[in-house]
Amino acid sequence: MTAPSRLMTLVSLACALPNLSMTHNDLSDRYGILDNEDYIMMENQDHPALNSVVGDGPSWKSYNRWLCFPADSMTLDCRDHESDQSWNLIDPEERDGMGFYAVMDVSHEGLYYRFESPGWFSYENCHQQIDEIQELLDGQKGICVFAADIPSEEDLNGAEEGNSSAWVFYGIKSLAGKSMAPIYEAVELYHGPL
Amino acid sequence: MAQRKKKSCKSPKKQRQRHGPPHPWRLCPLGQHYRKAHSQSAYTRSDGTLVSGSRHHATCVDNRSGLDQIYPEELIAIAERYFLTLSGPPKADSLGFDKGNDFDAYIRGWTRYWNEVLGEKDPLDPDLVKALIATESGFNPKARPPGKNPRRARGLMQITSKTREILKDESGELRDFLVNVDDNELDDPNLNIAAGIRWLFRKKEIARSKIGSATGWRDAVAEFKDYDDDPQNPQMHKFDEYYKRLKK
Repeated sequence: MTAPSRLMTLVSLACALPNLSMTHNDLSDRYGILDNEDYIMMENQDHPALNSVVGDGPSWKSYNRWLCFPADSMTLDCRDHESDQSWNLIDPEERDGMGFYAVMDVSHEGLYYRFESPGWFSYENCHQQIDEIQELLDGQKGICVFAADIPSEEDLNGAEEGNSSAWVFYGIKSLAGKSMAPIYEAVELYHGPL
Repeated sequence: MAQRKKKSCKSPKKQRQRHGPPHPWRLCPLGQHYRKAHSQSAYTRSDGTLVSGSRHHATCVDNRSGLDQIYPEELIAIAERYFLTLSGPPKADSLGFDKGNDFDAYIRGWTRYWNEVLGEKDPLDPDLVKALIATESGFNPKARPPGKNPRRARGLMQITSKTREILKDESGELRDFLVNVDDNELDDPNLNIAAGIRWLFRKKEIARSKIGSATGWRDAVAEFKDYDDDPQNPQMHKFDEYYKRLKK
């Protein structure tokens, strides 16, 4: 098998990773954003990014995958980790000591995706994250998110799927640049023949 | 995700191997933190479409840093699951305070947890933590020093906003075993004691860097109280009195 075709096989396998959430539209990279290193990083995951808590219902695992959207389908926000309130609804004097998730909301072809940062931050650091993401979005047609989905109880119970899904994101990339969580910045990539 | 460029070639796997096995009370594998079950409400978007609501199970989430991080949800779950069945110090002596014995289970549990996780050769004594809390707040979970600065010290162990930020700083002086709590959560006795004891261990490291191998936990308390240059300060005498009484 030639190197490119083997790579495509790996990519296909990655897309076939267990997907517990709603049926997704075609979220492959139609914008030429991702390169071989991005796909290899997805393949090289040696453990799930999310998994079930021991002794808490059915066992499940969720790996990161790349999902790509039109840039204008995404809105950004910082939301309080407890109340889920948007930062702009919170008294400025109270924001200082609070913890905020960086949140990306995507509305695409009738489906809604909510991407949250893995941990929460101070208001200032959350906004720094949001500003970085905004820089990657500005003037772009497409954006790709490296994220793992959190299954809902409906997913796990086999109930009817809704039109929204929740994810935890570890990276974002556009043709303007790339921003990864530190744990993935440090990933050692295998550059040998595939 | 502050950096855009790859900085090193250390793999996450290698970072994880620095830790021993996870503490048996932890709810998630090494390198992950616990996020409690949560619901997303259904809502109608500005264009009139209904976004369906859903309920998500509790989740173990990969830490973004690769370091060991613990968040309030897990601190609360650990205390609920394990602390009520523990026994041993601190001594059930209220030291003359109305709420003097109310937080013994948290003191007992978090002292044991951090002793086991950080592997200190000279383990921290829960009675010492109780004496420290007596001098810091008089067992008042809402204690604040005078003034209006919102970033001033809070709660049982009088943790400041600056300390709280150090405790969760992924590239800061703690280097590992981070505790992520926000300011308001420091009013919660359980979270305050969990974070405060982690800070006391850090203060012992700092005291050791100044004093050397003879450093004891009283030196860590002096460092915690910023009396390291004045270990005979009256506040330290008060601490000594309480501690002696608990050890009788």
